[in-house]
Amino acid sequence: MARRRIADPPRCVDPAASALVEDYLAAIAARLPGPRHNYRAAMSELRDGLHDALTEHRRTGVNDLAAARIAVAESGPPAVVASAYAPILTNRYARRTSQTLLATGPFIGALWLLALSPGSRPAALLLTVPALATVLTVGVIAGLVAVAATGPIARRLPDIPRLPQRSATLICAAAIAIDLAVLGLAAAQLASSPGAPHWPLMVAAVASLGRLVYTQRATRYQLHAAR
Amino acid sequence: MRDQVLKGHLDTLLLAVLDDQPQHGYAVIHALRAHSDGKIDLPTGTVYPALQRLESQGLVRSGWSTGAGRRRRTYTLTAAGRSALSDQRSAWLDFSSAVTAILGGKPWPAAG
Repeated sequence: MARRRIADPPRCVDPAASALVEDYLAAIAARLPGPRHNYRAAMSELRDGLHDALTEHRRTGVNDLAAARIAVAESGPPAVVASAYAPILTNRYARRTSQTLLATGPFIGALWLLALSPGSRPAALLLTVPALATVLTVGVIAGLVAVAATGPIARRLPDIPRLPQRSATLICAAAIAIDLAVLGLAAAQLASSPGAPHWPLMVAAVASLGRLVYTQRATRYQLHAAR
Repeated sequence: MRDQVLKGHLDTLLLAVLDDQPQHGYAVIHALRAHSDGKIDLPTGTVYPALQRLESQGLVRSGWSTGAGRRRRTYTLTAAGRSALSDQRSAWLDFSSAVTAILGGKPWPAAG
């Protein structure tokens, strides 16, 4: 397996021992869900624990390589460790995705309001495409459910399998639908009034396109995790 | 000890280990082994995600500290964690005394 650098450099003197630890961490990382930034801290902590174990075994008189072998064996097979991390990491990614979309939603919404209905109230834009209001409501509720189901109050909620992943998929789908709809409105407006560039429209379109790139990637992970 | 038996009680055991003082992951693993005379010896790599699960539930909080040129994630019991530990400790003591009464080898009372 190609060795990937996961976090900090290995802390053993013997390159063979370092390679053993690196390969072990890479084997776990290859089985973890979500993008790498989602599990970087977990891998760093795991590496730290391996270093502690390695140091302890070295004190018994064994060399670096033997100490690394014992530490890795004690840590458990990569598949077992990865499956212990999987629920935590999928929940964390669902939470982070939902929080990001909930936090950026009002900002992107304001940009589109300025671009499409300058000077009017938010309701004006929503009334232009009535389905937008429904999709927005569903998305916001799904996002709040995903955040609630992955936080401290989750202990008081009914245990519904994969609720965070399904809710996060829903808020992603809502964000994609809204972005496509407003981009369609923008295209129609540009087609009807060609001429000088409409800067507020350009800025809003760039923001929505950026969010589309983010959400399509997040949706793929959420759909995979929700299965 | 069988992993499946342990899994159901791991969260409570981790909370109990953190009851006295904040600890980093490897120290928690060490404490589990030491207090159980080596009977509780889980794959160490599975203890870290269990600690992170407790953190997501608000039962412990973690912070990174630096010492001797190394960054370490240290876990501390929260008020909610202390309360959960107290509840789970009482539930366990009730359950274990009931099971001990049945499995303890005392003669069964004669049926009336």
